[in-house]
Amino acid sequence: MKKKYKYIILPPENFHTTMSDLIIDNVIMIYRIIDILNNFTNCKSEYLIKYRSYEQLAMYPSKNNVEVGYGELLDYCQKDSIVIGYPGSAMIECLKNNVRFFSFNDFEKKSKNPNINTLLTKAIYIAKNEEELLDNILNNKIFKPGYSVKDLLYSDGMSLCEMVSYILNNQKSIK
Amino acid sequence: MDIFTVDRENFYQLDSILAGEDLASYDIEIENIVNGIWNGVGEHESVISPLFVTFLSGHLLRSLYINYLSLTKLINKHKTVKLDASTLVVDIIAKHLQLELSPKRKNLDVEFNLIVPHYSLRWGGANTSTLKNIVRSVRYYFSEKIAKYKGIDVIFMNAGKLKDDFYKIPNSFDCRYMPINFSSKRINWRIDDIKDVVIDNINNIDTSIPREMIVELIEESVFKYLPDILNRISTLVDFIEKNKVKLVISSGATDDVFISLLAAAKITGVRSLVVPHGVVSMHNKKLNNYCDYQGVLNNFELKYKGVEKIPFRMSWFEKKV
Repeated sequence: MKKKYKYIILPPENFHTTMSDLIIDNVIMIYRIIDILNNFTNCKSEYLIKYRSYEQLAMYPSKNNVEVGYGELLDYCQKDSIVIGYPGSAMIECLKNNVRFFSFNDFEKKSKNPNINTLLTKAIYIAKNEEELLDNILNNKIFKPGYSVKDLLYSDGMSLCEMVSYILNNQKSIK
Repeated sequence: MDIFTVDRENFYQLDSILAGEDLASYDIEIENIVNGIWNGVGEHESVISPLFVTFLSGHLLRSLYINYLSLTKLINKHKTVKLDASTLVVDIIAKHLQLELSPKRKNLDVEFNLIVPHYSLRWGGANTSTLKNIVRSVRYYFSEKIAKYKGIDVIFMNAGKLKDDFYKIPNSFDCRYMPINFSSKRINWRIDDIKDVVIDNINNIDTSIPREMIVELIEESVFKYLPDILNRISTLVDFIEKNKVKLVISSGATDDVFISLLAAAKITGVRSLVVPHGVVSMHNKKLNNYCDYQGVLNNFELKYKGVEKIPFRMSWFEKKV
């Protein structure tokens, strides 16, 4: 059984997606998030930096509690955990399980790459800097007005098996 | 003026010298290169068009531009810039700028997503030992025999998180580790002609950094993998036709091995479905009007044009804390 943490930081998963998406800005953001958490707690053992890979660890090194692994985030969470990271699959996993997830990602910088999906900003408060992140955490701002966790996944979606059956049986289009 | 040594640690922060600069015009230039790279490559242009788009746009070209601009600024500040750490991209720049490249420099290609070994592996797997690949090949051999005996309606590639979902599809077969058949004669790709056109396309674009670096990067990365990716498409085409496959499913839209499956479906006229294996942050707009169906998790996912959308429920998100 893995140790549970009150706070978990997920470092950025991508960089150089646009010319202004610089690694140095991501590094600074991580340090500032750690500063924010240090103001919440004086005990370093209360927070974990969870990396997806050793390459990510090399890019954002830390002397705090670190774990490296893929797809194991919930194993480190308890009901009152707070997770801070890019808005991705981990965000949905956490929010579906009532684990508070505060997103950060400077989508303004990334909008210059037409292949980056920024649509989640409609529904989720996504901090572009530490001030916005701190405000979101202190005021528990996760979903924008009118949105909830129910909007993150279709409740009436088909399973993959049902989709295959639908396609192979060539049912009426639902486009 | 002094000697600045780029080592493994400060390599990650090489781009700090560009902080605060307005670099948006370079983004437009990069997208121009990517959008036109396959123009006029011949009869297979529409099939090839989504290949290497994400690799070029999201990794290679921006790395080239950012590191070139960073290093040109650094050499204005320091008498000598010495590289004890580098990537294939920075090696190209260093040669052009005549920087000192240490023969024992640390290579950071993996950290910067600049190489994709699984593109060229015969068995399609990455980061595995020879022994694992032998085990995988034996397992693949028997799983293919069994699947063919039962009959195959659906072939798929699973990028992760969908193992439970794919497992439930009857008469389906995981073709991720299908070995590339280099002797397939089904398609004459004319690879050398394609390469010539790509180089011509780059030579016809106005670039604000030296064009020869872009050409060298394309040769060392895209052209390195292109024959294997095209042969993989041929292999999949052969398999689809021989086994009368009815549907292909890819859970990746940015990885070129996964796109090769969609390409094979396009060539054979078999229906294709692309599904996410989680929240999709990167889109491949060259897949507009390319596949037939798209599974989508929510209203915040970018949808491909000309593709039928199907609301998708993946079992991964049913996990409880």
